[in-house]
Amino acid sequence: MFDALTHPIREKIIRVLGEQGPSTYSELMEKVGVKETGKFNYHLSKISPFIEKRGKLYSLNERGHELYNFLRLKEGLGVKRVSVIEPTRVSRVGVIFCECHGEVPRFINLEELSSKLSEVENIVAVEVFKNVCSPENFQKIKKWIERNLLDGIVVVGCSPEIHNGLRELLSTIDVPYETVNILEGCIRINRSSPKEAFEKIKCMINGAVRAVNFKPKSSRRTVRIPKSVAIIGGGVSGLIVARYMTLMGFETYLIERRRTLGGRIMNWSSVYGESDCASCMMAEIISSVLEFKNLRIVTNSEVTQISGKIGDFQLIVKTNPMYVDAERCSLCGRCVEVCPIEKPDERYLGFTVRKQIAIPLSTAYPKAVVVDEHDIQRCLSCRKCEEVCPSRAINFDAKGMESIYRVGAVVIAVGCENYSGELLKKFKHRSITGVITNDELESLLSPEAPIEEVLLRSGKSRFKKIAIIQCINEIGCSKYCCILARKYFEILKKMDSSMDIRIIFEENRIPTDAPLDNLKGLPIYIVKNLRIEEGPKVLGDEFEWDCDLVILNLGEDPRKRIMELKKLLDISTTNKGFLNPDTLPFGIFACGSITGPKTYRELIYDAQSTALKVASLLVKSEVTVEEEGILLDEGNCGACGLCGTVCPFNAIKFFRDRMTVDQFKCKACGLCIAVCPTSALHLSSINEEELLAFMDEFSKAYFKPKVLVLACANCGYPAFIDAGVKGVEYTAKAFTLKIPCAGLVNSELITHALKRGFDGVLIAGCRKDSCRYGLGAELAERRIENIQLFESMFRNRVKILQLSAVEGRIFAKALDDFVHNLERS
Amino acid sequence: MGIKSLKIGFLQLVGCSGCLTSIIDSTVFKEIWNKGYIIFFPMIKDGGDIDSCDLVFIEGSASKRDEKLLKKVRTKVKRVISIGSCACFGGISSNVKELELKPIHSMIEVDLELPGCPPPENLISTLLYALISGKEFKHKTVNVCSECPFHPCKAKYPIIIREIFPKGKSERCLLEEGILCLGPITRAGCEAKCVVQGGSCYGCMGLLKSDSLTSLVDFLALLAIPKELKYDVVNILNLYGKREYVS
Ligand code: SF4
Ligand code: SF4
Ligand code: SF4
Ligand code: SF4
Ligand code: SF4
Repeated sequence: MFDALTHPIREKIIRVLGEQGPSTYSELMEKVGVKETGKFNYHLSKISPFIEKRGKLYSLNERGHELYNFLRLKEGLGVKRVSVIEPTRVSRVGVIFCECHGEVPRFINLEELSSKLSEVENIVAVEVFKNVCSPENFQKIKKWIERNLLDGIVVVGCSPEIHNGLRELLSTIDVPYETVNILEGCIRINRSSPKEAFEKIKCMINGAVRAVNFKPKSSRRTVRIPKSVAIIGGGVSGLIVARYMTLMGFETYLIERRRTLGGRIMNWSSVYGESDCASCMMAEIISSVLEFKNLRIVTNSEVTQISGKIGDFQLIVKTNPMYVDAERCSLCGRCVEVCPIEKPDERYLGFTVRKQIAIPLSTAYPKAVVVDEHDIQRCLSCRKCEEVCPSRAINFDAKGMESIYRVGAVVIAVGCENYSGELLKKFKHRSITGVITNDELESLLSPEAPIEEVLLRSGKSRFKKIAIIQCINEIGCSKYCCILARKYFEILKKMDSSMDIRIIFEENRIPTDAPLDNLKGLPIYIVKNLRIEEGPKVLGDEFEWDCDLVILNLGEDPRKRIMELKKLLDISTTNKGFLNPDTLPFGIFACGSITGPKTYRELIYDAQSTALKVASLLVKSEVTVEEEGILLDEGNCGACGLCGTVCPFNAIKFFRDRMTVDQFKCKACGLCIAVCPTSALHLSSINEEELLAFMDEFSKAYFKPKVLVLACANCGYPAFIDAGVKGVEYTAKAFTLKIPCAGLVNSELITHALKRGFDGVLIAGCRKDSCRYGLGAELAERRIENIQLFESMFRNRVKILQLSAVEGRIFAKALDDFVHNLERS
Repeated sequence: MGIKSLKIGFLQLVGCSGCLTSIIDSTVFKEIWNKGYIIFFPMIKDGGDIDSCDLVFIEGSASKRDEKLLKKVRTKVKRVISIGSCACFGGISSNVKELELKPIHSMIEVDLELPGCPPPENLISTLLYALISGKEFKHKTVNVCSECPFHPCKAKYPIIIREIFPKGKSERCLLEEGILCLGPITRAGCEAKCVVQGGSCYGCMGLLKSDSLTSLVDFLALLAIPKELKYDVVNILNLYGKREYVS
């Protein structure tokens, strides 16, 4: 295998094929950058065991992919090794106060505070600005830093987490800095206890002045952004993003799990408010991009790994065997004629019959017959169609393959599934004839549906009375079901105006935010204890109706997709269980129904705005990013492997006794740091000393009890900010520190805080199922359980709180209770 | 080197003589014996006055009765060194509950501690050499795993533990096999001899982090361990752990 790597040209060929997928001979030559064919052929022949040729295309075979992965790993492995972490030693600190539109001076006397501060060691300058975040101040501030020869800055004002302007300012400053968010973190939450608040602010600033000494040197790095994007999911959202990206000239990969594009909407008859049929609309979008060379559509394929960082994302994509070559299939239908296997067509409720190999919808893309893969064994023993196909498009020996794409941005548009949980059983879906889902209704209503045949086989000549049951969903309102109900109402009425159609809600399951306005003027029934019985018959308290058809109007169900995504990325979810797009890594975007239920129009707008966001990243030739990762103090590492037992991303590997980190995979969550028994690991973005400096200064506050809140960056800290934004008032006796993940809190940190004089420690983390790093919340919880088991004095003094980012009120309440309990004991 | 003559004494409190035997076996001991530094060694050399020593090594844990002796030693002797896990943490001997045995440092201040049950001979030699030549003795900062042939542990969280002690010799990291091993949180120096010989590490070299409770808690949080076994672990650790490490 290593023979292949002895020459740079051979390595390059492997890389090009691995990164960009199959290429023709001349493409390959050009990309590798070799001019003479003789030389090229020579090297190509040397690596022939790793390459296969199908038709005109060269690609990597299985061994080739292994080799390619090895090459990638080789460059991605490595951890920055340090022996001692040196503090930066800051001696001239400047404190900048922001008046935050006057809100700060209304609450505290800045002059008094400034004069107190100028006595603090190391502080050489204090300056008050009206609004530090207005760009015209940036230059002034820079000059001020230079003039005073400052080597450290403390910015006192609002929270950079929610204020873009402050973030922008900070990105232009190149001395180490700390921020103190007195606005959301104190003033707005402690209005009625000004004395404590003043003390708190003083301690917070002192903490920052000390902590800035340990602030790791920012390791900013400029990365080139490849002008390419991978879009995962070829439904409405994915297609629209793909269309815009292609039109704007970016290299675009559209990866779809099914064999045809379009997603769930392809089954639909129409979209409310749009004149065209749903699948025709999709077909139009698809055909509008097909002619572009810079779009590659990869169907029948799943993404099995996403790694890398901004500037270089790698996606490993597994393509299932393509038994039908779409380029060759002319849809003549000879194969369908000879196919001996017949089965019920699930698309039309199983009332009609289809073959094992079938012609897809006329609007489907790629345009080729489709083989039912669940039953592929039966095909392998028949193969009649393979023989009759005049264009030799069918090949049951086809193998799947794996390709790697390297791109500058990734868009997640995987969509949701239709709800398929317990409520379907409760309402007797298909267990009673005549009870179907709206999805099934959609396919019956589609222009190509053999509706007469379905009617004939279902034993009904026509439907007169139809019940539409709403809110078949457990996670709250899906937003579009009410519009759908109106759509069904109107379509069905158009078919037969004498139909009796009723829209039925179950009283206790109507979401508070349901857009019932959309149903204005329609016959709505709100029923208690809704049930369905044989007939079908709709029953409830004081309600009974015999009808012909019951339609269960399904909501969105993101659960399965979220589980799949969790294997690929560190994601966090909203409180309803959808993907939270704001917490995705830089360069990864999400849109469509996976980020929350949307109507068709909303989907389009969402996709458009996502396309714009992606484009505004890709048009930049380079961006500056903060390098995040872990540092290893090698002299202290015993290579015990404990760090590897918790790493959620399998980033830790051992090579001959030495611990190494795959930089592509490491997300700097810090879980490994908390478990390392020899304290050999450190985060490059936060120094432990920095945290301790804050803690020490906080602990000097005079009041009692004094509480330290360690809040994770994904849920706990945003909740703390949320309380500030909402202006919820609560105890002033708590200091909140931001940490990357609750999993970073180990008992060492907790005991340190308690020894320093805190009366209680509250850890505010995510819910276990929405922890971005999977294990963080759980590990923190187990450590606290254990610490209380062994040391009874900790029993009431350490607590863990699990919440979501928007639960500021819950955060405030929990903290109040905690302080209250400490006061009593 | 600089030091012309030294007076060294060895004291035995409640211990099994294992530590003293290891000391005798160590290479540097022979050297200092030949030089005549040793003026007091239980059952081998007597007569010298322990109070006049520059250095006193103590084996075994102390009971209330020993307090007077210890205090006297402390006031007269320049450097007091606890040797072996009994002297450092209570160790095996503290299993004798009736005597209420305690580690030496809980009664008097100790200048240096060398744990191990018994302490490895090469460490004893290094320590003795450092003391007679005026050099600094440094404890290792890595864990027992670093010396174990089976590292790194390849298990995944949660590490499922079924047994406290191994039943037979293992060819893999014990944690992967579902057997408790305290190697990761225990200070290196013993060449992981227990694991090599088919046992598991029960932490006689003492816990690595200064606050033993924390390393214990954080380690246990990684294990899925039946509740009844959890208390066995705590018992083991009570012999070698629950204390502040003095070095
Ligand atoms: S947990 Fe710490 S000592 Fe163990 S291998 Fe990882 S870095 Fe090294
Ligand atoms: S545990 Fe987290 S910080 Fe540590 S290597 Fe894995 S991803 Fe990186
Ligand atoms: S430490 Fe071990 S060898 Fe030394 S006295 Fe105690 S039991 Fe014996
Ligand atoms: S067997 Fe014990 S000492 Fe050896 S690597 Fe595993 S945990 Fe560490
Ligand atoms: S392996 Fe563990 S128990 Fe055995 S000697 Fe070493 S530290 Fe002590």
